[in-house]
Parts: sequence; structure tokens; C-alpha cells
Amino acid sequence: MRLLLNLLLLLVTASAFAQGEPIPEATKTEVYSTSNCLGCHGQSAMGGLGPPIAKTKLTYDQFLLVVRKGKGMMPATNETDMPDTEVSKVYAELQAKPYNPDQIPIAYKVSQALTTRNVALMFLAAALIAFAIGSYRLVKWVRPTSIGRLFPSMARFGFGKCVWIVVKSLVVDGLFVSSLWKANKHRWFMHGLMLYGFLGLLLADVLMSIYNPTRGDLPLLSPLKVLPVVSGGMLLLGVMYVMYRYRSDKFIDNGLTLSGDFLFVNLMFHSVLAGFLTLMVARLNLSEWVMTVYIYHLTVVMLLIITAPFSRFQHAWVVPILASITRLTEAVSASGVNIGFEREPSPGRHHKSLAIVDSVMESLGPDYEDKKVVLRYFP
Amino acid sequence: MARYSMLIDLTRCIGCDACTLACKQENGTPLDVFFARVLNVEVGEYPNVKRVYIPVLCNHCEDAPCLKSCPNKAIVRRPDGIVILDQDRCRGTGACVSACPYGNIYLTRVDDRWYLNSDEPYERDFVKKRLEPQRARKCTYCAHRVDEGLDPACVVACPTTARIFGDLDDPDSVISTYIDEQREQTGRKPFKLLPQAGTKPAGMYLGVMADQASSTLGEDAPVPLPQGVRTP
Repeated sequence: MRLLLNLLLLLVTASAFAQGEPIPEATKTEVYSTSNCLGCHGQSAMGGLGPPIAKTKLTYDQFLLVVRKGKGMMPATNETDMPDTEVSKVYAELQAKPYNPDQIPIAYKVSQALTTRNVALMFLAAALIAFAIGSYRLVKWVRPTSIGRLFPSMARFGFGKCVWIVVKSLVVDGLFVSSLWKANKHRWFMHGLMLYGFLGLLLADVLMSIYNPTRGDLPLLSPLKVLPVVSGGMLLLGVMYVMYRYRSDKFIDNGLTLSGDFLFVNLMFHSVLAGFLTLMVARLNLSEWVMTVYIYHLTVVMLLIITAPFSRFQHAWVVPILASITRLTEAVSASGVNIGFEREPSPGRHHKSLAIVDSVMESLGPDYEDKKVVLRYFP
Repeated sequence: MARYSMLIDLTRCIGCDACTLACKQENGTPLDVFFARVLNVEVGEYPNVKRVYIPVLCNHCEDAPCLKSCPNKAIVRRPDGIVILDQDRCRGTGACVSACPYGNIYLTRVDDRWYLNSDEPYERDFVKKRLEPQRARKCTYCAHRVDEGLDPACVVACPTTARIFGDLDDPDSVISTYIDEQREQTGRKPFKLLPQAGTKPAGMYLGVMADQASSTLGEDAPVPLPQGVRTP
């Protein structure tokens, strides 16, 4: 996976800088080739991470306006950095340059394809795929709990009460992580950094889609900017702590899930880090790096979503659901409507035992199959 | 590396619950917690009723769902196949309890009690020290005994040697030879519990031999060959 990422990065950066031919002596007198413009627009002004501007169709006034105000990712340039006279020289030089469509680099085409709409559609598709696979795998998690065998008892207990117990457990055990709160406040805090940081990012994304659908740049203190930055910061701190713990904890390998754990933690770390890097390079006006870092960010987040049903990510929904089933089974059996147990230290033990009996009877052959089966308990 | 497994011969089990008690004594489990229980099953209706005893314990699954569901990484599968639950790492979330298709993980939520008030050394120094509510517990195949080269307590206690413990990777181990013998002599093949759950359990069972009943009653039925755990 690292290899894939590296390859992708290499592809993007290589094509971005594929224009780096030796600069002919004559052009050194040009303002364009000594300006910052060529960082993004390419040696021959046929585009890099920015669009091709040779033989630009803009009028000089429009051109000047873009230079002064910036556009999209392009930073504004003020008059001290580049006086009007130089801008007009650049404009003239650009008009003199040949327009050669073959020279438009792939990186620019990629960045053109990454419109807000396309990115949103891509992520919607990825999320749907991950949701479908995740649901399929969730069924595989829930079926062995034999919760279906508890339905008659649940009916006697009252489905309304069951729903209430499940919802309460999802909030208390899932959202609030009460077991960690009770056992270890430090762990709860560290886990909370990640959980609430991630939820904050999700919320920020939803709010952004509603109030800023074009994802235009916002002032630094706008709530839509503060929320994702703070949440991302929390998430980054939490994930870094987990990475440290993964290094220091010698019992972190439970023999089955280590690769999925590492996959999740690393993807999460890289996506948050790349998110912050994107912000940083944009703010530092390193415009030639913005698209590269942004694509890196998008790729890692995409991988994070797609691998979610297989990586440690799935604990985010599997654990609360299984815990709520435990609470529900506990409550149903404690109410006495099941078979009159006062308590069942392994909630669901009775109906799971019935499942075991059915399985054994099936294996024992024709003498035992399809017979009435009663499980006896002796005090 | 070893691959430990337990084979339970349902023909030999007489439902005496000695395994249940031996396990309780060995592990000092609190009230209502039974790592090695025996299901008493009545099959059929009068007058054709049979009783089957099914000893149940943790199956130490190869693809253990309890382990994969634990958010605290408190459950570990050792290289020799034994799945261990570490109480020090357990935070009592309770996901494993539902994840286990066999109902073999115990989580006392509110209290942990011992049966008696007596203060003998066994109670004082062993059992009561281990009472920890909100910690999950499960069978360890008596890993502390296995590491010393002993059999698990339930295996030792079984009066009919219905439980056979050993290393499946070793063709000369008790369990491997027993499986081979039974396949040759009685045609029984080991089966596993709830194969549809996809957990790949290590624990195995050998079925009940229906022939045995008729031969005991002196009917003209083929007498099964003698079954020995250890043949020279």
C-alpha cells in the first residue's frame, strides 16, 4: 500500500515537473521565466498544477485582476512583489508564446478533474461501497450472537423496552464509551480525542457541504474553519498517541488482527497529517505543492474509507452494536421472561446453548436430527 | 509450534459434571461462572427419548470473533492456538460476550460473589483475590498447566476419559492417535460446533455411537471394537 501511494505521488510530482528542460539563455531575459508564475504554469506556460496560460484569452485588465486578487488556489500578488509594468510584460510574453496542447501536463488534467463535485461523487461512491461491504460483514458479526432465538422472549419483554435499551447502550457504551470512563480516565481521554475528533471532522464536512458547497477559502476564524482544524488536531494527537502505544506495547499483537490495526492507524495518521499539510502549503503559498499534497490527502482518505470494513476501523460500529446486544440480552434474561434465570453471567448463554445443541444434533446424524430437543438445567 | 486442541467423545461422557467442578476449583471462578459446563439434552419424545450430554467449553477458535471484537486488545491468541483473555487489559465493554457464538465468555457486571463465607487459604489467597466485577473471563485451556506439561484440569478430572487433550500437529500425540483409532475402528470423524459461524474452532467432538445401546441390551447387534485411549 505504501508502494501504491509512493507510485501515485511519483506520478503526480513527476508529471508536474516534467517541464524542467534546461532554460535557453535567451529566455532568461524574460520576466515570465524568472517570475513565480512558472512554478505552477510551467516553463512553456502550458500549465503545471495551474492551467495553461500561453495565448491567454483574458484581456489585460482581467489578467491583472487575477494576478492581484488570486483565483482558486492561485495566490494574490501585490504591487511591491510585481509592479504593473512587469505584469504587462508577462502578459505580452504570454501572448507571444506558442499554444501547444500536447504540452499540457497530466497533473493539470488530474487537478481539473478534481472539481468539488467530482471529488464528492467519488467519495460518495467509496462510502456506499464501504457501507455495503461493512453491512455484509456486520451481518456476519451479528448472526453468531443468535439474537434471533431471543425474539420470543423479547416479545414478552416488550419491543419498546428493547429498543430503548439498545439506543441507551449505543449512546452510553458507544458514544460515551462508559466502560473506558469507569476503568481508566486517561484511556478514555485519549480515545475521546480520536472519537470526538473524528466525529467533529464528519460534522464539519456535513456543515461545509451545506454552508460552503464550493469549498471556497474561508477566513481563519470562521467556525467552519475552526471546527475541522480543532477536530483534526484532536484526532492527530490521539492517533499519534496510539502509534506511540503500538510501539511501546509489547502485547499489541493479539495474533489475528495486527495488520488491520496498523492499516487503520497509519491511514488515519496519514490522512489527518496530509489534511494539515494541505492547509499549511496553501497558507505558505507553496502553490506548486498544494495539488500534490491534496491528492495525497484525498487518496489516503479514500483508502481509509474503502478499507474500513476490514481494518480496525470496524470496531467503531461493531463494538457498540455487540455491546448493545449484550446489554439487551442481559436485561431480557434478568427480567425472567426467558427461562427464569435470575442472572446469566454470560448473557445469551441459554439461547446460544440451544444453537450448539442444534448444531450437535445435526452432526450426530439421522437418529438425532429433527427431534424435539429440551435443554435441562439442574439446580 | 504446537496446535492444542481438545477432543470430546460424546459416547464416553456420562454427564457427571466432574469437569465443571475441577475447572471451578482450578480457576477459582465466582458464583454462576462455569468455563466447562455440560449441557443436559433430552432428544425426542416419550417413549423414544434419549439423553445426550454435551460438555461445552471455550473452543479456542482459529478465527476467534471474541478476539476480533475486543476494543482493548485484551484477548490474545498465542502461537500454540490458545486464546487467552487478559483481565488487566479488559475494560468490561462486553462486546466479546455477544461476539462468542458459544456463550463461553463470562462478564459479571455488578458483583462477583463466592459461594461460601469461609476464610480458608484457598478462598482467602486464591479465589477472593480474583473476584473482579466488570472483567470478562473465559477458559484458558488451563494454559498455566499446559505450559508446565500437564493436561487441563477438566481433562484430568474426567472419570471416563471423554476429554482428550493434545497437540494436533504432533502425529504421535494422544489426541492425534485417538482420532486415527476412532476413524479406523468406529468410523467416527470429529466434528466441530456451529461450523456455519465460520470461527474454525480448535475444540472437536466425536459423536454418540447408537450401536452401543443395543449391544448393552443384549440384542443381536454388531459389537463395536473396544476403544482405548492409549493402545500400545
